[in-house]
Amino acid sequence: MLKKLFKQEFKSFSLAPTIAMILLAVFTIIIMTTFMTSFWDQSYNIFVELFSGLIILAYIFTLAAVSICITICTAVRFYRNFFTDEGYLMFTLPVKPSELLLSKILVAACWRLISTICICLSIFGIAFIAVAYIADTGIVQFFQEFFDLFTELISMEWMQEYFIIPLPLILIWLLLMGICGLLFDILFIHTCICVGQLFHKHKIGGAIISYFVLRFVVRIFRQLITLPISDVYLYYDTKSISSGTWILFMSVSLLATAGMCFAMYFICHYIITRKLNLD
Amino acid sequence: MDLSKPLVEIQGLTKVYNGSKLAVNQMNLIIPRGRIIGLLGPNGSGKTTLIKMINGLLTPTGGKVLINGAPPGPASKAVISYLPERTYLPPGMKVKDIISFFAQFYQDFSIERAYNMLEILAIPPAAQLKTLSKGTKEKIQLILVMSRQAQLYILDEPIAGVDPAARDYILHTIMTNYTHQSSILLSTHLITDIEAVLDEVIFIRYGQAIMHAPAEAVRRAHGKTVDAYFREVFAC
Repeated sequence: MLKKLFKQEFKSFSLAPTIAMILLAVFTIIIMTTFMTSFWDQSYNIFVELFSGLIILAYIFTLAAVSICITICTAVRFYRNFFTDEGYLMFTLPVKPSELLLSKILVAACWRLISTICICLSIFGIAFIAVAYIADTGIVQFFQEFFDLFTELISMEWMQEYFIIPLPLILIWLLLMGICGLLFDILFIHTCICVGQLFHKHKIGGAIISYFVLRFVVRIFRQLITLPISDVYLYYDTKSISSGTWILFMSVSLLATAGMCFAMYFICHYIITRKLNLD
Repeated sequence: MDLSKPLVEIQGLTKVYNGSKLAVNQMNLIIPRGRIIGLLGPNGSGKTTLIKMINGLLTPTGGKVLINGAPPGPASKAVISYLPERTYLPPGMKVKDIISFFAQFYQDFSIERAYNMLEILAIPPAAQLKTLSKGTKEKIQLILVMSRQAQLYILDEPIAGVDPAARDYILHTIMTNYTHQSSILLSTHLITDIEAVLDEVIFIRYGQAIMHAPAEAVRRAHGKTVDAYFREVFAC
């Protein structure tokens, strides 16, 4: 059933993010094309200046719009699907509440991941082409030089001395933190909406209040978790800290984020199973 | 299917809204198999609240609902076909999309039956739901509900929002698609239109079932139609 719910949710979620990403692709291609043609070589022309200014402004707005669009879609779809009239359809389906919840989380996570990848590809794509244009080298040659420089950088002695933890371990940690962070953002929105349902009236207002309260609670919790790390930075020489201590700090921060994700999942699950009251 | 257990058993069911408004009060009720039951009561008597608790859309304040011996959950939702009193279909979907959605999730759903009813009611499958009138959406919801081979059909005000001509078709649809192993729980205050099809009636007042009896027994005992008796009991 989860597969069917995921498929259905993915289809219903896709319209707005797809439009936002098509817009991003269009602006990325336009800007990249300007670097591949003689556009920037032209002598001063008010129309060229205006066009370039507008296109860059539109690109920046589109970059913001893509991530805002995913956040808004996540919140609106969750609220509308679960707590408005559409809830009559969703909560009478012969599926477990956990499957309903997971389908929402996974689809939002997929779109967030897709949008992040698209934004990165767009920014790096434009950056590479722009640098290649400024350096006046061919794109292939530029990529080759960039790759060589990167390989040289990570094999340098000082780099290996600085990173007392093996690079693969840092990459794995970053990957896991990325996944937890992604889920955290989605579950945070879902939790605020669910907690808002516990208010008798003004449920959306309740969700907004929950957002600020939960944000405060999470900040305090994070502060407490990172306190020992801050102490180390302030009072000790960071080079004297063993790799084991660093790994411990990394594990604690990872577990804390994962723990908050689990806690928020269970709050949502509890509310939709034990406190559901559709108007 | 465990036939030894009642289809629906309600024990001491209570629902209090906002901490003070009592909607359902210590209700006890058994809904048997193979019957068409009218759930009758004036506005605000607790009919919709009761139905929503049977469907798991409201959390009871006290007591319990058992469907085939178990509380509402995926198993009960697989055997209950519910028509709410409101339109709940996502407006962005097309009629054919919502039919395939139901076919995906409900094993007892018949696509053929759904398309037959769409054809009779001249509803185009390619139409987008947001372009259709409220009455047409209600007809689509009824088609979705009656295209299932459920154990219990719960119809909350199925004829309230449609024109008199469509009412006849709806009642005809309910009667022709229902099998005698199933039960229908029909909530309405338009009793005259449905009285002829009812096997049993439940009168609800102030969140309590004040009477549960065969329709024929009510007619015989009081020498009047269920509708006339209802008007007498609930006279303002």
